[in-house]
Parts: sequence; structure tokens; C-alpha cells
Amino acid sequence: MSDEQETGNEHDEHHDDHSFPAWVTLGHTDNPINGFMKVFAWLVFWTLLEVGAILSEFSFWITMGILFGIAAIKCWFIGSFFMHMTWDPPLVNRTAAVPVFFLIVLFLAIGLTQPGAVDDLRTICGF
Amino acid sequence: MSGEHGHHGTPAPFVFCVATAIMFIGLVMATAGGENNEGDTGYWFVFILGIAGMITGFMMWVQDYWDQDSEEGEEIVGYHPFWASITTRKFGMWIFLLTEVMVFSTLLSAYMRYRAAIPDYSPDIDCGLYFEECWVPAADIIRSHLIFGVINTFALLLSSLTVVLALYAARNNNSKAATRYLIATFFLGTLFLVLKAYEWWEMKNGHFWGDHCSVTAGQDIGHHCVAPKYEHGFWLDTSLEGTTFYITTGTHGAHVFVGLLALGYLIAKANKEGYNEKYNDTIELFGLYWHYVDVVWVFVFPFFYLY
Repeated sequence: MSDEQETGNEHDEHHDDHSFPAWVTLGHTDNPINGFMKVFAWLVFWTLLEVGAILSEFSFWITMGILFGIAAIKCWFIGSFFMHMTWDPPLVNRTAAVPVFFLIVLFLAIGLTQPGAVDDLRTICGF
Repeated sequence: MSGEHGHHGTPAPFVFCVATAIMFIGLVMATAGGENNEGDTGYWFVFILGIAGMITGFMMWVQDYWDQDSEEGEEIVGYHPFWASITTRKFGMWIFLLTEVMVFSTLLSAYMRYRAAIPDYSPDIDCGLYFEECWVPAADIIRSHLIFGVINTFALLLSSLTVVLALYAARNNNSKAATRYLIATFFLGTLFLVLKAYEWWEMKNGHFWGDHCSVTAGQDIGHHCVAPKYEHGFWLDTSLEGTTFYITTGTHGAHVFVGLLALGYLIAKANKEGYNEKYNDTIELFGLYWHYVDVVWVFVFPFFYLY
């Protein structure tokens, strides 16, 4: 990108000022390495919670909620911090959000339905 | 230095993708027995040709980027802030990851569809003589040896951390540390595949459950007992449970394996101090792929190993 192209976006991908939310690091940390270590600790915590929760035999829908919920939380941690989505330009987040619609359709309209159930998208959407 | 080895176009990705397409065409046609399903083995040559093309494309790719040490001027050229501050390679990697999201979404949603439609086994349900009418998940078979799945989960999570640490080591001009973290990532990925291969072997040969107990229709399956339909092992063609389990975990394992191949290149280049504070984007791009593999496992583990 030439110097003449002023986009107005001053974000620098290689800027190492990667600050973590205080609740993630349980306090302020200036060192991004410590921040990533704490994110890893959170992932370990949620994994242990997941294994512990599944040993209690809940109903199908409660089990699905727990598994999806914890998986989504872990996915958020990995995406936001390890994949740098928190500090990347908005384009990255918008690009990553593209398949969300398809995920919703695949899981809610197909994955969690049964053969013989309504699978017509127009009917599902209420038209 | 950056002017001598700046970025330039390369046909390597195109060659690799065309070769991959040829490989898959050969594989599908060969396993289907040719156009007439009569066992035409000529397509195995097409498959091998595709493999050779993929190796050629990969070596071309490595050769083109081995000496690259700059991403200067590689941002997407645009006049709107929407496109600002992202390189074409990074944007391309995210587009690739989106396609990968669709691959695993279809596998997982198909699995969920079967789970929702077929009742889990229960003493209150008539599952048939061989439990063929009920879903006996792989999780029940694995539960007695769940430690391997847990170790695999921690291995992948830790490997995601080591990739990030390698990136920051490179940004701090610490080539030795970057190399070590990449080697650690390689070790953890290899550990994952070794444990997975062991699990597969044991499940295929019925070693995860004892010989002393089997159940008949109407009885509950306790620990270390096996449903009659798994008496001879749990494999791809045993049942839907086996097919969905092995296809999904196998596809994920294949992605881990490809990641290890790329890691070999990264380790070699990091070892020759090819990454520094000015050029470390390749580690970041690989990291995106590796973290995605980890994210997929975050969903595969609970749905196939725990439930």
C-alpha cells in the first residue's frame, strides 16, 4: 500500500500492545505472554468443567445446551485471543462471521431435526 | 534485504490445487470401481499422478517462499478503510478457513441428525437382538479409556499456546525460542495422532472392552461391556455410529497431519533464523490454521467422546 493511500485506519497488525480484558487475566498484565498463558488456563478450566458436566446424565436437550455452550465459549477464547481476532481489523471479524448463518441452518434446521420433520426453509422461517 | 527477497507471484498454489483435484478424482473413481463399477484400476494411476503433483506443488511452494523475509507492500490495495491493514495472504487464509468450517459443519450436522433420529439404547426400549435399532455411541466404548481423549484435548490446547509463543518469540527476534516452540507444537501434534491411531486400533479390534461380559437385548450396558453389534469390533462398516465417528475424527486427523507437514517447513526455516520481528507472518498464518484445527476438536471431543 503506497503512502499516498490514506485509509484513515491507523490499526497496525504488528502492534504488540495486546491488552487482555481484566477478567481474563484476573488483574492487569503488561506481558502478552502471561495473557496467553491465562487464556490457556481458562481453556483447561472449561475442558475440566465439560468432562465433569457430562458425567452427570442430563436429558438430551440439557446435554446439548451444555456441550454447545462450553464448546462455544472455548471457541470464543481461541478465536479472540489465539487467533488475534480481538486485535485484528474489523474485516477479519466480518469475514469470520460469514458462515454463521450457514452454521445456524445446518445445526438447527438439519442437525437437530429428525427425518420426517419439517425441513422446508420457508416453513421454518414462518412464511 | 527486503528488496531482494520480497514477495512475488507463484503458480505453486494453483499447481497444488489442480493436483489435489486430480488426486481426489482418481481416488473416488478407483474406489468406486471405475465408470461402470467393474473394478477399473486405471484410476489408481490417476490418484498416484495427483499425489505426485501435490508433492511437486508443495516443493515449488517451499522453494518460492524459503528465502522470503518481507511482507512489505502486501496489504490489500484499496481506497476504503474496510480493506485496510490486512495482507492478501491473511485474508486468503481466512477465506480458506471458512471453507473448512463448512466441511466440518456438514459432518457434525449429519451426525447430530442421526443422534436426534435414532434413540439411544435404554433398558426401556426394544433395541433389537443386536442393538441394531438403537444408537450405541462411540462415547460408551471410549468411556473406559477416556483418558486418551482428554490427553489429546490438552495436547491440542497446549499446542495452540506454543504456536502463539513461537510467533511472539519470532517477533522478539528470538529464533531459538521460536524454533523450540514450533518443535514443541510438532511433538504435541504427533502425540495427538499417535494416541488417535492407538484408539482406532483398539476400537477396531474390540480391545476397549473385556471378553467376559456381553449383553442381550433388554439389558443395560455397563462399563467394559459391549453391545452385541460390536462384538467383533467397532469399525467404519460396523454401523452408522462407526461410520460417523471414523469419518469425522479421521477428517480431523488428516487436517492435523497436513499441519504437521507445514510445521516441518516452519521449523526448518525458523532454525535458519528465517523469522524475525520484520517477517513472521507465516507463523501467524499457520497459527490461524492450527487454531482452527483446535477449534474443530473443541466440538468433536464433546460430541463424539463425551456424549
